[in-house]
Amino acid sequence: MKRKQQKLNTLFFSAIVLALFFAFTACQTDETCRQSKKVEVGMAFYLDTINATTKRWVETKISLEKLSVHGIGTDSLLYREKTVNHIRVPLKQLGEAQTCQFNLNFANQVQDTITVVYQNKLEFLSMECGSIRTHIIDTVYTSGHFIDSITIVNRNVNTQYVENIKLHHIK
Amino acid sequence: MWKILNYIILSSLLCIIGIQPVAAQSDEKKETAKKDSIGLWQGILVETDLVPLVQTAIVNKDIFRFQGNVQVNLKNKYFPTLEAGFAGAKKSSAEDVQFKTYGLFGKVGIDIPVFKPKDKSTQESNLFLAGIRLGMSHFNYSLNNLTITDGYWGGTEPINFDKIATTKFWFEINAGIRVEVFKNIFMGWNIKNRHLINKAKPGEIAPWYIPGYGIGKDSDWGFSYTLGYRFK
Repeated sequence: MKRKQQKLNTLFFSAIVLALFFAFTACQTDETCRQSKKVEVGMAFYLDTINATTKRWVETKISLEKLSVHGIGTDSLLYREKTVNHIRVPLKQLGEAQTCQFNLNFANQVQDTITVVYQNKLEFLSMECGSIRTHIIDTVYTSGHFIDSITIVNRNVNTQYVENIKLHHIK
Repeated sequence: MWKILNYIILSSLLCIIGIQPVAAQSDEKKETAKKDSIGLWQGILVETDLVPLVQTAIVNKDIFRFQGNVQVNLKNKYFPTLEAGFAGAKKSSAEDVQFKTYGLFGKVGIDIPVFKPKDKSTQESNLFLAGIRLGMSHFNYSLNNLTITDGYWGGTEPINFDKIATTKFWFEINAGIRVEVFKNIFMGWNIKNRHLINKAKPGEIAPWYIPGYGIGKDSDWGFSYTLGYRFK
């Protein structure tokens, strides 16, 4: 009988210690979203020149002064007279296939319109963070006033910043 | 720190499970006569897990689980186990994303005593058991009120997913003690380390809760406190 009592004591004591341990760890659940939900297209500026010796095209990353950028259809500026060698711009997140146009206003008052045609893709992050829409770039156009040509480097646009598009100015 | 603790406990459990058959082998010759005297069938234990009742009432009211276990005692050495139950969850996140699921689950596995039984021991003795389980649940879940807000271009779009059907598999490593508190009535506890086998791919609409497994992390810890009756 005494031995049985000892068994019971051991069982209850060890269970209580473990239950407290697990109750404590259960309280550590964090319901705050700490994941980035920002999905932006990375565009970098390049100057294309012909190397006099090799007679081949060479591209060099360049910084542009006093660049202003806004999405056509909105009044909100993404960049206001900034000196930058690249820009990060958000695409429309609602719906499936989409087109976004951006106005780039350069220092010398020359303006260009960049048109991005893309597909939206729904991605679930978690209960805490909800969902986001990432994008797959289909085509990119330029109006050709300062930006002469475009190269798509990476079609997938997600929360990690990468250089998706190269904007070339030919000299 | 938590990862290190996980690693230490998991390694200890694996060592315990791995060492036991070796220890048993070394004394095999000496014990041959005794083994033969123990019959294969040593009873069947039917038990239920009491932890979910406390958990739902106090710790986490979003989830519920009812579970019954049947464990056969073979030669006081091998304890094949079948566990089955019904579980579910209804949860709203801080951003008011609503998740709902419920479904049946089942697990099969085996426990073995970690320490070699003493000469005159029976199942009435303290049993420190360690074992493994393979779990499965086929269930539907819904995720509602997911909203996507476009901060720059403007607009909000509500997204709902209803009755997504899925099947999840996992394995568990468990260890714990069990004692006979009154004649044929057993109580015990065990800790378990669960690992999801078919994990969700990045971006996939993953269930927040998996019946029988718990909150759908890739791996997690669990605790059971069981009450059971043995039929001989």
